[in-house]
Amino acid sequence: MQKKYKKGAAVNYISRNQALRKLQLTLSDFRRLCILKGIYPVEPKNRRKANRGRLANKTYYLAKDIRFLTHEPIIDKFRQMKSYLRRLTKARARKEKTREQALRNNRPFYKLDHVVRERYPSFADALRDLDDCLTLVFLFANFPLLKKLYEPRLRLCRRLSVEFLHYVIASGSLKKCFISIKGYYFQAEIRGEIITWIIPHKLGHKNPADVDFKIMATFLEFYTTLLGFVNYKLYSEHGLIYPPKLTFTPTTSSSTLCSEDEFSDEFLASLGLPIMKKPELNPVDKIEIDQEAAQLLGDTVADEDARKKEEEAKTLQKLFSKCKFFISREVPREMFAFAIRACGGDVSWDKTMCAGASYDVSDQSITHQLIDRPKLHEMAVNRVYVQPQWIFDSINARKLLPVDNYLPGSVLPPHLSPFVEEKEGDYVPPERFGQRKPDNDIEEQTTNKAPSIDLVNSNAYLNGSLKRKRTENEETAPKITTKEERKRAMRVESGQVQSVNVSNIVKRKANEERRLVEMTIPKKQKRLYDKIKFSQKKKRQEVDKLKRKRADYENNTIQDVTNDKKKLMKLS
Amino acid sequence: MTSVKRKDSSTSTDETDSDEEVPSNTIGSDIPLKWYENHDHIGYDLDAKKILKPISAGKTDDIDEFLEKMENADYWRTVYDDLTGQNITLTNEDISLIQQVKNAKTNPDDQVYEPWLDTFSSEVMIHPIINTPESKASFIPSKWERLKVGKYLHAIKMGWIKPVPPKEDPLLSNNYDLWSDEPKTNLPRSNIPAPKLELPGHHESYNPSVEYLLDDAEVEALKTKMESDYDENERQTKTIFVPKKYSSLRQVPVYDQFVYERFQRCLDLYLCPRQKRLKANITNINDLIPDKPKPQDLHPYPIVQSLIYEGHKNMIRCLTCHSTGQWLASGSDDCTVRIWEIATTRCMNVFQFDKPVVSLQWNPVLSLLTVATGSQILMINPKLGENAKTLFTEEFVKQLSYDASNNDDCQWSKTSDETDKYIRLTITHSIPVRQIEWQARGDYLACVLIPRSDQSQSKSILIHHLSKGRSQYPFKQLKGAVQNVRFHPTKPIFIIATQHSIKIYHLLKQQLIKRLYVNTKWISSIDIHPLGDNILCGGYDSKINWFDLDLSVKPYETYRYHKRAVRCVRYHTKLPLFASTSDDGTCIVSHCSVYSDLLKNPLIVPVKILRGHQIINDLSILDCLFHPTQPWIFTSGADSTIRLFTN
Repeated sequence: MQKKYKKGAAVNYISRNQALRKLQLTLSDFRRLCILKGIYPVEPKNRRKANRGRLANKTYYLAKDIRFLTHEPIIDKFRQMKSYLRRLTKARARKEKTREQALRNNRPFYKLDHVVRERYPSFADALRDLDDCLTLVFLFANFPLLKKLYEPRLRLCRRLSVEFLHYVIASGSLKKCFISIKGYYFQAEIRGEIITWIIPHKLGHKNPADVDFKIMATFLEFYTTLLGFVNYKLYSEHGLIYPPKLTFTPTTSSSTLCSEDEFSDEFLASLGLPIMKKPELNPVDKIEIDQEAAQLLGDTVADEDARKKEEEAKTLQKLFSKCKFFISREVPREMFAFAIRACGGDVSWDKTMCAGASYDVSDQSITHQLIDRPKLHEMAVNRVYVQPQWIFDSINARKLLPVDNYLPGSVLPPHLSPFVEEKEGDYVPPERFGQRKPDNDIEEQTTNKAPSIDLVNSNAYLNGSLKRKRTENEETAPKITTKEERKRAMRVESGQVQSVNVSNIVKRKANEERRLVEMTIPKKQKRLYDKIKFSQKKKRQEVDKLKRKRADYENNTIQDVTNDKKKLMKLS
Repeated sequence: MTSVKRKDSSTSTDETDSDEEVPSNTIGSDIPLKWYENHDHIGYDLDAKKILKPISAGKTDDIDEFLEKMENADYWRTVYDDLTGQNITLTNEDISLIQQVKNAKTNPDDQVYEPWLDTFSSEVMIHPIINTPESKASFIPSKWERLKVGKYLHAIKMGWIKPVPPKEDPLLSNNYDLWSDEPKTNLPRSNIPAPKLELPGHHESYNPSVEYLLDDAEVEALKTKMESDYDENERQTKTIFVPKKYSSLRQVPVYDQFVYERFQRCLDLYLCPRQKRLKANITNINDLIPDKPKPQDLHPYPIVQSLIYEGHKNMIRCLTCHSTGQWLASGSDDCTVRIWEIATTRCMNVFQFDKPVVSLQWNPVLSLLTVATGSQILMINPKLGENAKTLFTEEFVKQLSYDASNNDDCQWSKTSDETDKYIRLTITHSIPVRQIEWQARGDYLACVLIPRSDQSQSKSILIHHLSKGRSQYPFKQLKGAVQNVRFHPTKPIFIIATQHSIKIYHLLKQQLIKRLYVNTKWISSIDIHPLGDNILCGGYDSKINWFDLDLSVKPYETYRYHKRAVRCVRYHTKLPLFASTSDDGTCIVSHCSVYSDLLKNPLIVPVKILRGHQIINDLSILDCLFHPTQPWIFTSGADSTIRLFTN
């Protein structure tokens, strides 16, 4: 007979404490290992079975995962580190300087290359999991150099993030961008993978409470390694030189305050200048790839879709190609320089603001200047002054939007998220109509808006007329009969017209029918059905609330406008 | 208070030079003065005699202090000397010195620029201080060094010593193509990827449209909801996000929860248990609804409330309909039985009793209305309908003979036309009656009694044989309180519903045929399909079970469409309909086609929800009854009305 707990969930899952005992690690080391190796707890299908009949609240890992961890060379490095620290403290306490120095020189370190390869067997896997990596790296790239964090790693974050941005610029793979309260969201499509990352706002750093930087640092350790490899692969595949180099060497003769490397790094980090490509890249390759792709995609529909997509990408890449931008001091330079360059524009800024400025404010060829202040005293005639939101809205709309709404000091139109995909029944802000269709102009927008209003009005009108008709019918029908009946019947009081609300009756009938149908749903699916119904109801309520708020706001503004007009009239 | 005036600044620092009359400090500067606090002397003189403390030295009381402050013009420059225990008035020189020290200035009298003594001169002397010649060893290379070097050289030549490899920067080890070769096999486990971050909606914009902004009440509601959701055992990961509108980009500050959110995400990635879940991909909610014919295609069934029969004063517990479909009788808690003409709602007759009427039924053959009230069963000839039938019934009752002394538990008694116009037969039991049920041929009357606690449950079912005037307990032993009994419409089969189970007995063979597993906790009523193959069973836990006797002893289907206890379930005798009534004030009529083909399952579709009765004291519809021929249904309720619903 099979003994109990020798098979199945009881041996497939292992609790955390058991895992610690098996690996002979401390909890903190185990956590580090789990972070680096990407091992996570799992929820067993049946907790009682996994815990051999007991129902204690435990964290479970897959026993296979833990067995897999036992062969990890990093564990040995952890142990070496432990003994290293012990030796170091001993040497320090004995004030043995030479020994201490020797120890420090031989500090054990571990490399995570094999872990990256293990976790992401193919490059596509790595790209798929890049969201968290990029967001964390960008967060620490913009972090002040704290003592809590290892300073060279922060500098590495900065370097890697700049490299990645340069790749996005060079490959033109930026798809969407969005300014949120949390930060700047960017979305790029790299080798078919959608990658989204957030760059936090920069004004004012608050030291966060309740955050354990040790854990974040462990994550960062892995993510920097991963992003380094990803960057290298991306650069080499796109025919770019890695580490990136500018196409020209910036002249350092004017500055003697920093080394040449630092100076060129700063130029690179400014994102304003193109980076060097590998000389041996021949353009024939690309065409071949395209043909192959076309052959593979024999299906015409898919082919057409792909072509459309490609076309869209091309338009986006050349969106700002005819524009020359100048960024004022008050505008967050890095984000906008990146967005403009990723869409093919030229960009510069004030020389004193950052290195890498390629032209001056007074340049006559500048077409657009981004400013974020209500007024500018000296304005050039031959350029457009716009607020920075215009850039992001234009990228999301895939066309150069009319600048009328974005002039300095004007009230900006709402900045909408490009990530929202409207489904049926969702609330769509009215401003969305203008952005959704890429080809329509302002006039079309107005026409677009107009029918919607008309529809609403006409609907209201129809409803009203219908109601009126019905009431008339109800009134006329009994009137004819009452006269005859009065003569015949003995005690018939003049009855009141029964107010029959036909729509209500129809609604009630439909409701009843629905209820009857719902009765027939089997129990298993009833729960699901009820859940869906509930969520639909919640969503509808939410949408209604938004609509109501919008209507209220619009009414108020109209009233305000009319009030103002009246005041003006009175004054005049 | 004694005070000493310093005469000279130069002597002030020197204690030995202090004036004769001043008691010098003999205790030494190292000894803390507080050791002498409790003594009246301070140190000893050369003759080893105690030096007494000055009377008012040291601390004086506040009043003296105040008077001193007021009177003494030099009070501000008087300081207390710890060493001598005396007050000293500072001289002008002292004060200026103190001020200089305070202002970090040098004393102008001090010598700032001392003369420079050139001890180690730059001038080279003619004669060396040491004039020994250098040793020979300093010219000859060391032998031991040579040997040592030779050893190293040998070791290098042999490859024992290698140059120290250049140190690798662990941060910059990733400058090669990691994915150059073919992808390795997957991890030895099923990888569950972490869900991606949610993408931001319109409300997260720095400049959202106005409708996304929240007012104070909504923010408050969000906070309270978050607090109410707070679970101590679980890690708190959610933060409140309040949309904000900034008129321009330069006003947007850093998001103070950003690092915290990233941290929570990190924790989620390595601490959150993951589970693969199959998500039902339902595009259209109507896919969940089983494909059944529409109610419109299943006519006829009762739809509208047509008539209301009013007259009873209390809740109406039971209904019965004459087989011709012309008369309706109802029994109520106001101890009356009323007979109604169905078509006109006219009350034809009222019979008053002493106890509430719990059950009544028309004899299927004779013109006898059987009424159960209290512990009695009364057979009434209401003298309605065909005269021939009435007369036949009269004759039949007259020729009945019964054994008066055959049973202690029940007494039969006849009443003739002279004593009572209507009541013909009375059966009196020792215990109250719960329900009566005529057999289809109208000869046997099953009767459910409520036995006393000292009686066995087998006494709860009694069957009266009308033509022989006999009564008998068919069961020697019975388990569970009997709720309801039914005769099979065609076969000699008897169905008993106890609280938890349904048992089917063959009366001739006297054996248990089947025992049905009921899904309800407390059966309220059962009914058998006119063809006899299906049983319907309603429970107080609002469930209705449909049993197919040919199929299984388990319910074919269970319905939970009533919200409250189900009081009554009934089949239509002719049409494929059944109805169930409940305390929630609804009577749900369902279509049920039963096929003679054993392979075909019965088709059951709810077709109509009938409402109309009020809910009084949590009771609403107590009984329902289909018209014997028409697709009509009568419902009787706690609001003391009977309602007729017609198609």
